[in-house]
Amino acid sequence: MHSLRHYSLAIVALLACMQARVATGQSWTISGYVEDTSSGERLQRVAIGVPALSVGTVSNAYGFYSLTVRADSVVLLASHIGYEAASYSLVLSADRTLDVALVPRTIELDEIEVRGEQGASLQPGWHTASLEQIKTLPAMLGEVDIQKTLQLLPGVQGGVEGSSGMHVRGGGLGQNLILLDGLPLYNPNHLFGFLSSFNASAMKHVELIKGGFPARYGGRISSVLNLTMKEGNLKKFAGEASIGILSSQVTLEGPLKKDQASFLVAARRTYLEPLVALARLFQNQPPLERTRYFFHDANLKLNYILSRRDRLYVSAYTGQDGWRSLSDFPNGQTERDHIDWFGHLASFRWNRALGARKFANTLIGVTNYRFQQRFNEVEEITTGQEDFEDVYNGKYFSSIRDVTIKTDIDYLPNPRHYVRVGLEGTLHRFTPGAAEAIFEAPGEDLVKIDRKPVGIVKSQELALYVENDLEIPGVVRMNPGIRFSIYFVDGRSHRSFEPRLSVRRSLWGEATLHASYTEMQQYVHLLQSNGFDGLSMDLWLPLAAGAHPLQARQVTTGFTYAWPTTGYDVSLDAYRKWMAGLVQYRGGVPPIESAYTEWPDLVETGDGSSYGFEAMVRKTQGRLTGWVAYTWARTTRQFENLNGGKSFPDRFDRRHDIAVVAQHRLAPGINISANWLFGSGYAIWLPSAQYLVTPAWDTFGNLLESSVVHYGPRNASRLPAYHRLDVSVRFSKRRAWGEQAFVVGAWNVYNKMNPFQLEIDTPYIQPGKFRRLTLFPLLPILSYNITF
Amino acid sequence: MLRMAGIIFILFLLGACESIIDVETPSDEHKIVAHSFFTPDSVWTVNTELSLHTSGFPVTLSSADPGQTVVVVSDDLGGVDTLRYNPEPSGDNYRSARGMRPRPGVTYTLRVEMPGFISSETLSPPAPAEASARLPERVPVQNIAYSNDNGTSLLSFSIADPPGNNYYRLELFQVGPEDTGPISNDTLFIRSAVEDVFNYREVDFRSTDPAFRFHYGAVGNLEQNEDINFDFYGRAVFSDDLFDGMSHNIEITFKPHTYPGFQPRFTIILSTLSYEMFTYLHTLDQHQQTASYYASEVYPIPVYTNIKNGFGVFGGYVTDTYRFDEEGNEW
Repeated sequence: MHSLRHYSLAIVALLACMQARVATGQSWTISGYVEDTSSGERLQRVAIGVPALSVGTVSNAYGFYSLTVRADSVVLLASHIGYEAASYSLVLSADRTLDVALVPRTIELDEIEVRGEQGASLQPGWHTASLEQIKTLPAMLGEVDIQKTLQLLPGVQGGVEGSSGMHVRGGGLGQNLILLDGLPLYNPNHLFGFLSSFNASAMKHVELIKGGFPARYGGRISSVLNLTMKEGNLKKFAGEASIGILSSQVTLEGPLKKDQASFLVAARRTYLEPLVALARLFQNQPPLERTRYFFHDANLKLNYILSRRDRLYVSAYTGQDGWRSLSDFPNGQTERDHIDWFGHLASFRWNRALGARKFANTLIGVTNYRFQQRFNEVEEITTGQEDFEDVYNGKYFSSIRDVTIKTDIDYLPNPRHYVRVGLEGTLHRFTPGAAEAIFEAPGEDLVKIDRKPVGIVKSQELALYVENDLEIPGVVRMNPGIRFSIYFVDGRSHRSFEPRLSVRRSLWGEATLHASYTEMQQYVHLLQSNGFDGLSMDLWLPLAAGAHPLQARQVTTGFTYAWPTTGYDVSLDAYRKWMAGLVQYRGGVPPIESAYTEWPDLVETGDGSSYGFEAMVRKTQGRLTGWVAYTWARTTRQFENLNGGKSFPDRFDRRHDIAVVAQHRLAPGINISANWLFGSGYAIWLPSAQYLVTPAWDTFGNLLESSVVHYGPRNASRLPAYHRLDVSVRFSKRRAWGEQAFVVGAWNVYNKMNPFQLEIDTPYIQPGKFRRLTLFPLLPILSYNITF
Repeated sequence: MLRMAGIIFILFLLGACESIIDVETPSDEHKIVAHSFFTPDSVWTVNTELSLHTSGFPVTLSSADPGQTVVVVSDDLGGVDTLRYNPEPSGDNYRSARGMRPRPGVTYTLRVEMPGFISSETLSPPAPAEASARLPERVPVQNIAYSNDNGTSLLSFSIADPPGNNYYRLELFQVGPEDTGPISNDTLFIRSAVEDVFNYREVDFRSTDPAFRFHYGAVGNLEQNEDINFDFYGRAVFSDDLFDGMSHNIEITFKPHTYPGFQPRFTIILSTLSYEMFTYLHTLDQHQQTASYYASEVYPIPVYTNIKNGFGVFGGYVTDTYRFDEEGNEW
């Protein structure tokens, strides 16, 4: 079937060559949008070209394209993975608008489409993940997770066992620019960081950029994760629903007014509470402690076609994780603990085609993240004469809220140039750690504590960029750009000029050589506690007096090659990254200390470095698809006040990383998927000795001996290697109303006890031994999904 | 179905598994540990030990063979004293047989060798341990004032801080009846008094002095203006960062222990510390405080050591003592 499609394309191309006539010197511009005929969704990164003239372009993130040709009669070809190619014969006597309608290719039941780019179109350091593939790869407990799938790519590491976070090319979690419909999302996690908060059913496009960043992206130094939500079906009502072990989700979309307005809503929620209650049935006595955990999230998208040139969108996301704990003690004391993580995002976007060669996208939006912990302690005191209660109420919280407005303009003067300019302004509002507490006791003064060491900090960030994706025919294709940003806080300002350059040269056939140089600057810091990432009290911070922005320079070089017709491609990348202005908690500082101390006093500041080599071989066609990815990397940190000022391995420094991903169609309606991961051990800082101390050998000579452990060089030890195999089988069946699928499998099939944490268990074990905590042994994968 | 879901969920909850594994760590086993807080008030005394692997039980720490350990203290004026093994109930140590005492302003060097101990790991004796430290000059307490209001005592005094970096430790003790615990909820235990006259009990105190905040760890903005009453459990370690070269007034409040029929008497001791001793005490405090946190929540704080090729500390202090009763009179 694939061969037939290639032949068809070749014939169409041949016809196009025959029909194209030599240009008369007059140039015409063909412009419009690319849409999916079944849903009306606009499609991005669709290749559009006139083969006879060897000119082409791709649709932008909003489906707009513009192609200027020197001919008065052309055959325009549009092709996109997963869609039938479309061709249009056009006679040109003026600029022409043409909306390209692509028909989804009829996919055989459960045939998995892998990616939307191949060969020369591969971009260095860019990955486009297929949503279909993300949904069908084995997922922990059956919970589909976009970020966990991205961890299978070279150069992306997950951090601690089971975490859904991304450490990209030696960077930290707070260095990823996670954009949901163009707005940054500060809390991409659920379940203490073990699941990402993106509902894959609501997404249309997922793109990860690790290097060679174009100038239009800024504000973070390590990666860009670009997520685009579906716009909502303009043609018909449709939906998806799934039931899993932890949670269920439903996604509905459809026209509000056919071909003019549509909506999409998606919601997901855990149902652990009844399961916990069920688990209590197996306990013999009433529990003293009752706990409850939940998360939920919801996505909304509205889409309205205002006119031929104008389109309006509303995007929204809300998510919450909650932990509730109630403890009853025999003495009448009760303790309640409520912990919540909130993430919200809402944006309004206006797309406008400014003539045939220009396109504008304007967005205004707000995004916020808030962590809060509330606790209440009540102690009943009986003196014999009277009964009374001591009551203690406390709250700790931290938050960040951004209001952003930005405009991007795409200008395509001719097929050799794609110019983008943009302006972006953000108002940040930080509350980096605050605590309130009230203590009430009869006969005593009410004690109130209100701690906000730095109060509310407001800062402003302004960025301006220009870039040009240009082609020098027969020589190179390059994307030079520059981004200027300025940041105001507390009467101070920081500026940044960030040059970007990405160059690609075709060697032969589908082989390309590429290189890039980028400089990035970041004005917000994320502080996380030692070892655990994304699990508890993430603290987003503004630049304080004396603090420096995060800065990174990265150079990359690489090679890509795609074998024609076979569906195989290979990419090799090498990178070197230098980072400055990194922060981490000082020794002994717990995150809650931020309620008492200004954050510069909580942290150490230093530099980082990372370099590595990444290789990936993929197979994207046939019954068996998948990839093998290998990363060799070294990441170090150097802080003046840590490790004696000497360089030391980063906590997530890992030398070797291998991911093998395979999907095989066993039979119509039966697909088997498997991942195998191997990672050499992360660096860890463990004690190297213990000895007696005499802290109270004081003025009076009293000896109070105790022992302390000595920590040797920082992160000089290694955790055991990590590896696991996940397998799932998907049984699907077409029904009159849609499709149903049942997924069953196992996560960590051979039950490898991968380390989540190491602890010393001093008195009870032999020297040289450590206690290893494993969170995720063999786990089931189970889900039931329907689409209609 | 519901029961099945419950079983699956319980399996998940039980999924957190622990096991014992080997991890290769840099080994600092069998290094020499030396501790000496030297002061002009006593003769040279040095405690020595050997470090063990982290996973051994602390009580199994093996002392160095006393007959094979050589402990030498020398000063920058050419004086040398080889200390003698001194078994004591409170802990064996090495002590000056000649009765030599350190003197303020002099820099001393400690050298400890254990040629007779062969490490099973390296099959050789541990490398000799060395350290140097200068004994600071004494800084006296001045302008002492004491008052008591409804059971809360207020003590104020000043110190004239010499130019340069100086480090201090303030301790407050109350004299109690022998062999009797304080009548309060305090959990203080009774110490045996070295001077065989009184039992000295630590007294907790509070202070808003910003300089004292340093005691609370690496964190804390010394210059923040808020009045925060910090608690100190018998002692405060602080530096002159905020009053370098100036006279500085210090105020502390405390509630004396109650001993029926026994008049409260107090002792404050201001020690001027060498940098080494100050940093050691400071990091040791922090190390022990943070040890209570879950291992992964905070980054650990290594205990400072100035012992080359080993662990422990070699640092000195000079004290100034003031004794007063509940009327504020010196005794």
